[in-house]
Amino acid sequence: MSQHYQAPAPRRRQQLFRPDEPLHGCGLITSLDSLRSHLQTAIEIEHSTIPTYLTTLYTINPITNAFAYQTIQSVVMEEMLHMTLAANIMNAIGGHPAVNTNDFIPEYPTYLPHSDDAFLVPLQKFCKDTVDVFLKIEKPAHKFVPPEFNNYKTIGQFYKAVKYGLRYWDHVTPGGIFTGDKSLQVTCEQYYGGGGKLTAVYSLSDAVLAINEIVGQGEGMDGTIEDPDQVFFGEDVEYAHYYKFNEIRHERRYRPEDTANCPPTGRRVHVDWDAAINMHPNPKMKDYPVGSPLYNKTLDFNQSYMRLLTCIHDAFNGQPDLLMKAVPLMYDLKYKALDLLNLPLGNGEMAGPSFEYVAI
Amino acid sequence: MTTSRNYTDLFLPISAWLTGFDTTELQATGMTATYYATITTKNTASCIDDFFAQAELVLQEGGGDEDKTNSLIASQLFPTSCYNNLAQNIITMWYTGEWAPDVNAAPSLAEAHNISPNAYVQGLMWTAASTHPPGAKQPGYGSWADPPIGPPVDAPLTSISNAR
Repeated sequence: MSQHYQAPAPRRRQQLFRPDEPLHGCGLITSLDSLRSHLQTAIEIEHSTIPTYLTTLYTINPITNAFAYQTIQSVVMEEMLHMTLAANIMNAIGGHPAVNTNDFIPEYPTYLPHSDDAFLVPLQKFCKDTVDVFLKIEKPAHKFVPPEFNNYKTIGQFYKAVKYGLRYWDHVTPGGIFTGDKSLQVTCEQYYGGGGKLTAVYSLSDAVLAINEIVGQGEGMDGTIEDPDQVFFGEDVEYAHYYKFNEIRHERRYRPEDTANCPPTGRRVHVDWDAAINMHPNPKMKDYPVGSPLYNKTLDFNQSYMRLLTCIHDAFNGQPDLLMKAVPLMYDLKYKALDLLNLPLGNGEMAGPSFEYVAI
Repeated sequence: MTTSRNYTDLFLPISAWLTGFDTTELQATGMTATYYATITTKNTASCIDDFFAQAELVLQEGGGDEDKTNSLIASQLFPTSCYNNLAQNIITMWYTGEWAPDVNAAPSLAEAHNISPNAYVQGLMWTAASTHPPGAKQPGYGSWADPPIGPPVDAPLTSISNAR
């Protein structure tokens, strides 16, 4: 493989990735089933970040904290894209994405699924600690870290392993592994407004593109973080989540001259750390007496959440058009979360969305 | 002149009886403090004192019984001669986000006005009709082709007695 870099994508997202790796490291995955189960993990990882980003998003005012709000919102929409991309890869290799099972939703605070359990991901209000966790979630991988399915340090490491696995099993399987039912793919016709272009996956190269989109949006492509000469910031460049969150944390934009391993040095942005709704962290239904108004409101929220997950599950499993029907459910969920955040607990804190599995 | 005490503890329960939405639903709009401030600035302190004194009696005498409380509200709080039309105005306020014209004011001052931009968005009339305020709380492209999400229209009314 040559060592040149792929050109940036047309929408000017900066994606500098190294060409495909040779077929070493593929022994991490012992079977196609194991590959599929790791793609299920990928879907779970992508999903696990969504409740935490959404919760924090809803605790801030979109007008008075516009920069932080718009930044977190843009990230969470990309996570929804990533979840759908992972499901497309899963369907392309004949797997069955499972989104509505009782173990699909993590119990917050949670470690990232199959990670090295280095840090917990909470549901909590907007504050510096929360943004620090977001930075850990999106932390870029070092260029030379090995691919890792389990106990990974960064999500990039995990996807590197997935990429190796896909390439290896496609190579050694007669006829390849991309033999899934093409009608199961969610295409850009069913997916709108959600953080980038959705790619249908019909081949290994589609799958690699999809993974590069996921990792590129999340942490930036490997290599850029430790390359101090790499210029890749600017007003018209949409850069990776880690750097977006770092702008909030430092209350500054990046300048085109900034380097990836240094904090942003551009113009200051207004971030009002104190203006968040004082939500009780990691709320749970069991915090409230069964049948109490707060219990019922939280239950109602979780039922809406389960209706949404069920709709997405069905969209990923043969009815891709249903994804359009999921959008009103997403809005409904948002308004229910905002309702909860208006309910005082009596101790100075407010209730909030708990994102728990309930039977519907 | 200020009211003889803060009536926020009574404002929500009496609002619940007047609107048919339970106190949690009312609080969830995030408008409670704004609306309480509105009624206390739009009415004299003595009117507020008298209204809540009567409202407290109504709630005590009604004892949670729906028919009894409703009939007490009708006879004690609703006559337009009482309390500057406050009971009716509270209902209009929660449902529409508007402060209704003052029945006793000179015509030029009798304009209804929106209490705040958020009051319009949080109006209970949208919830009651299972719809959304035009221009806000957008429900998603194409959602108009499907039945509304959520409880049937009469659900807040039927659940009223459980929530109080």
